[in-house]
This record gives sequence, C-alpha cells and structure tokens, in this order.
Amino acid sequence: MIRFRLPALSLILIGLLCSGCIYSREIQHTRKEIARANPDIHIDQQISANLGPFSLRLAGWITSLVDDEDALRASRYLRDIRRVKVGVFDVRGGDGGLNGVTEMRRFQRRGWELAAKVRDDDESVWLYYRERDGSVRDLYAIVYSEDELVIARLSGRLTHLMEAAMRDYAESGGLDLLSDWE
Amino acid sequence: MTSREKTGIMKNLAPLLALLLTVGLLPRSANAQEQRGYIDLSQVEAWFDDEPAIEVNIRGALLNLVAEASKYEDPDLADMLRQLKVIQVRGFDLSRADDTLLSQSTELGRQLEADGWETVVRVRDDGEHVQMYLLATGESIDGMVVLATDEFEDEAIFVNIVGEIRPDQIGRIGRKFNLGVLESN
Repeated sequence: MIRFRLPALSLILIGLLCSGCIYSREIQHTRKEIARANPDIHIDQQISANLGPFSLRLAGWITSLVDDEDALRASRYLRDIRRVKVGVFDVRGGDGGLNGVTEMRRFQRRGWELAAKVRDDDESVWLYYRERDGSVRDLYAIVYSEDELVIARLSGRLTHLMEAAMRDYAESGGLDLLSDWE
Repeated sequence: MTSREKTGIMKNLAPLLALLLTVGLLPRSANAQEQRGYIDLSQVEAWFDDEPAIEVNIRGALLNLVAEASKYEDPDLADMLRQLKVIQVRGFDLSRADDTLLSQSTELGRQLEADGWETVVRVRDDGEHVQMYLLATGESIDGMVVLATDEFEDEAIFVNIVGEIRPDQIGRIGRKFNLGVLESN
C-alpha cells in the first residue's frame, strides 16, 4: 500500500508545485534580482505561497460557510482577489540597506509604477502598482528589514476591494475588523 | 495566391492601415507630466547624491483608490481627492546634502515665480525653511509646491500636488498622507 501511496503523494506534490500553489517563479525571480544586486546579503527561503483564482474561490466558498460576520466579509473580499503571491525570506548580512529595487527592469518593462518608497534605517518598503480601465489591478510590495525580506503581489479588483473594506470599516464603527490582524 | 490577389488585399487594407496610423499619431489625452501645476521633481533629486528616502507618486487609478477608500471616513476629503491629478513627494536625508541646497531651493522658487507661480508662504526660522507656491487660474488653484528643509530633523521634503486644490483642505491632505509639512495649514 505504502508503495503506491508514495508515488501518488509525489505526483500530487509535483502537481502542486507545477500549478504554482507553493512556488512562484515571479517572486523567485524578484528574489534573485535582489540577491544579484546585493551580493553581501544572504537570502534564504522561509515561506512561499501562490494562490490563484481556483484556490481563492475555494477559500471564499469555505469562509462563506462559516457562521461568522468576519468570515462572511472575508468571503466577499476574496471575490475581488484574483491572485496572491507571497514569499518570505530570511536575510543575513548586509548593512541594513537594499540596492537595485527601483532599477529592476522587470518593473519598468511590465508597466509597474512606483507608488511609494520609504527607506528607513532598519526597514525599507517599495510599493508598485498597475492599473487597467481606471482601476488598480495589481499591487507589488517589497518589504526589507534587518532579518527578513517579504515580496508580495496581489491582483484583482483592488479599488473595489478597498472601497468594500472601508465601507465595512465605517459601518462596523471602528477598527473591530482590523484589530484581529494586529 | 497570385500577385494580383495580394495587391487586391493590400488595397483593401490600405484605408484600415491609414486609419490606424492616424489614430496612433493623434495627440493622446494629457498625461500627468503635461498637467498644469506639475513640476518634474527629478531636478530636486539631482541636488542629492543619494536617492530619496521617501518617494510617493499617487496618480490616476491609485488616487481614485485612495479617494474611494476615504469616502466613508471623510466624504469631503474624498471629493477633493477626486479633483486632484497627481500627488508626488520626495524626502531626503539632509545630513547627506551639501551646503548648496538652500541656494538651489531658492533658485527653484525663483523659477516657479517666473513661470507664474505665486509665493504664499516663506518661513525662514532657525534651522527651518519652508516655501509654498500656488499656481492659480482665476479663482481656482491648479497646483501647489512645497519645499521644506528642517535641519533639526535632518530632513528635506518636497511636495507637488496637481489638480483643483481647495486651500482649506490642504491640511487634510497632509494628515491623510502623513505629510507634517502640510498639516499645519
């Protein structure tokens, strides 16, 4: 029995990797570019996730079954999200700064606009966005601190998502919705 | 396909190609850089050896997103944000700037005045320098520029807001985007 399970599990794992559920080529490519521009920094994989429309729809459906107001809200928000890619990496070495992010050709070539960049002594943040039909469709964030690098991409109807979140926030009368995230 | 058939197809496609070319050559709607009230902040970036510590470029769909996100919390501010075209900010570490910064900043102010901008604030306090300029058309304001340096905080902040600005709302924009230099207005 075990003899049959092992190949089946391997196939499922390979299938998941190939479908992009765990591994995101885009996030890894960005990580490599950052590593190339900062040879004194060691960047090791910690967590990686790549959720596409199918996984997100499934997650939305599951949360909609939970009898809880916050879960219902989350389910509504998930309808506006098309893809989430996240990579969290351990960082060692370096002097606290990260070079080469704004010079990355992939952002310029693929129509990303720099929305905000903040470089502090112990943390740096880059936020890029792309728009289509007058609406923000993609956000790309790179957050770098002394010991961690986070690369994340969120795609979907983000203007609509933000509007819904702020409406719920206003209707709930405060930070109830966001307090659980802190 | 014979050469006569090929020529026939080309003849049929010619008007379509001409139309596509014409559309392609037509002037596009004005982009952010062509908006009245916009200034190119790369000239400010050239004053410093390092790239800006803070860079903010909010325009188009992103500005719309911020307006939509603000409409339940502060509808008046959301209305005003919808009238704006661009908000751009650059912040620099003053400790890495050379002594010519103040004269360059003053020179930029002179250029703006020559281009029709009006000086509305000029503060030269001990270690703190703030210059604010507005570009108006009749009653409406099309653009705003703030050049501020604070030697105690070791920071220099440059702000350019493009679009229809209501002066009484400038402080609210400052609070929304955490721009201390605008909050006192």
